[in-house]
Amino acid sequence: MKKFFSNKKLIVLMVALIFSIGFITMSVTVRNKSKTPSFIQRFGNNIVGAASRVISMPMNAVKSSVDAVVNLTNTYEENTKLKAQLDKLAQTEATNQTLRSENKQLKQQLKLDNTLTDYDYVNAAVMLRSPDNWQNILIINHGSDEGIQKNMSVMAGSGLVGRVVEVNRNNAKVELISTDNKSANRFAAQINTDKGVVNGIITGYDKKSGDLILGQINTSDGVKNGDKVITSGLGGSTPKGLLIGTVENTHKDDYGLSTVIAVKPAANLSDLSVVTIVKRSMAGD
Amino acid sequence: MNTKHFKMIRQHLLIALFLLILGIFDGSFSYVFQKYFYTNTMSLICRIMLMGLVLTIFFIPNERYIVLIAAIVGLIYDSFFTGILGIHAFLLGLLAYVLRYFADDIPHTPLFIGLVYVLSLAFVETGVYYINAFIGMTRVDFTDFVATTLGPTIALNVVLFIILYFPLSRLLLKLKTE
Repeated sequence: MKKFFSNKKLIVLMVALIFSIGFITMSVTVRNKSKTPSFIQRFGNNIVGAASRVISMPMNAVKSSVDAVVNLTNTYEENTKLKAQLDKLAQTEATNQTLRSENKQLKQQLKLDNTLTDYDYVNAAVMLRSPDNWQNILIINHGSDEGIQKNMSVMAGSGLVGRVVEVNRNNAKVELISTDNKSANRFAAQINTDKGVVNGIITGYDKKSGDLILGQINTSDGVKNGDKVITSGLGGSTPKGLLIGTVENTHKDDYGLSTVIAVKPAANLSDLSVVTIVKRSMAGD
Repeated sequence: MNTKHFKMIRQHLLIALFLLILGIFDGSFSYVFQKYFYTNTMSLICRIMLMGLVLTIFFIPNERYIVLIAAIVGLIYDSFFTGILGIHAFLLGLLAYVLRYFADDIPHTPLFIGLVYVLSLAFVETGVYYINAFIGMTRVDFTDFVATTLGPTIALNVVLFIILYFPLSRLLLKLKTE
């Protein structure tokens, strides 16, 4: 043991500790400020991303076949449910179409170029998920080659699931909305009630109930269970009108000081395979 | 000798590549089973790359640069999966450094290697948790961490170890150059 605790080894250990603390601090600050990671990091990520396609393709094929087999078992009930939804869908599409054209005419009359609700989107598939789940990061298979940029919002199915935190050439990292990260870029949300608009920020996620927490709200008057929560477009990085979830209940926060609203997410956060990245057309300020 | 030198370099590169492929496999495995691994009550974390590292230290003891290889592979893993460099680089390098001393004194049987793996897994997971809590990535407190993450992770990885021990050790013996 004398050989183990020699001075030279302790010095090496101290130097390694200082180096790694330096690395960690540097990467946390650089990552919050810059648009893309440093060149060496991007280079390494591109290579690993290209290699990981080779490995993840057979695994994803296995996953989709297993999913198909599992789905087969409850096909009948799902079929009846889906048929009921289809009847409503045709009407919703027709109303949507008329509203869109009316909106376009009104915008032209007011001579507006792009407003908070205009956006494009890009589809991508999830390749991998970060094994340690402290930050809830997914790796998707498109990056700057499809025009994806940092801070774009990501949706899956019908609901919002997260934000793009890092972009390389052929892959990107998406941080889910259920993350605990103190320095995460949070979403500004609103609820349209009969008594007006309730504005707030999605401040966190309650793991036990699986609900998002909508905090820092201006008022909770008129909020009923089942109201839709959408992004408000304020703050400049997210378009307006993306569905986040539905109101589950209203309660006081941990310290009993302010009211927060629990929101049930519209997307299934635990089973993501294809995501849509939303590009906002209007330049944010 | 020139060919001997070349063979050693080839061994370094093959081990690094082996560990990286296991790391990508970790990510892929976590994605395929995400519905079952990341629930409201538990988080199961796959650490097959760590298993590969522990087996490498035991089965290829003539690898002089294992600490450097572990640190660099940890750095690439960090950069690709989380974007915060240095967490896995430091912990894997430190682990390789410590294990290299004890690897000779421990019998190379599955049971002992398994115990060493469980201990190093506990060390790495706790280290990752503390560093993440320190930089503000997570607000989970320690008892919650042990109950929801550490315990189930060790259980999952013990099962994976039992399944993957023989294939991986055969593969490592093939990669070893005398």
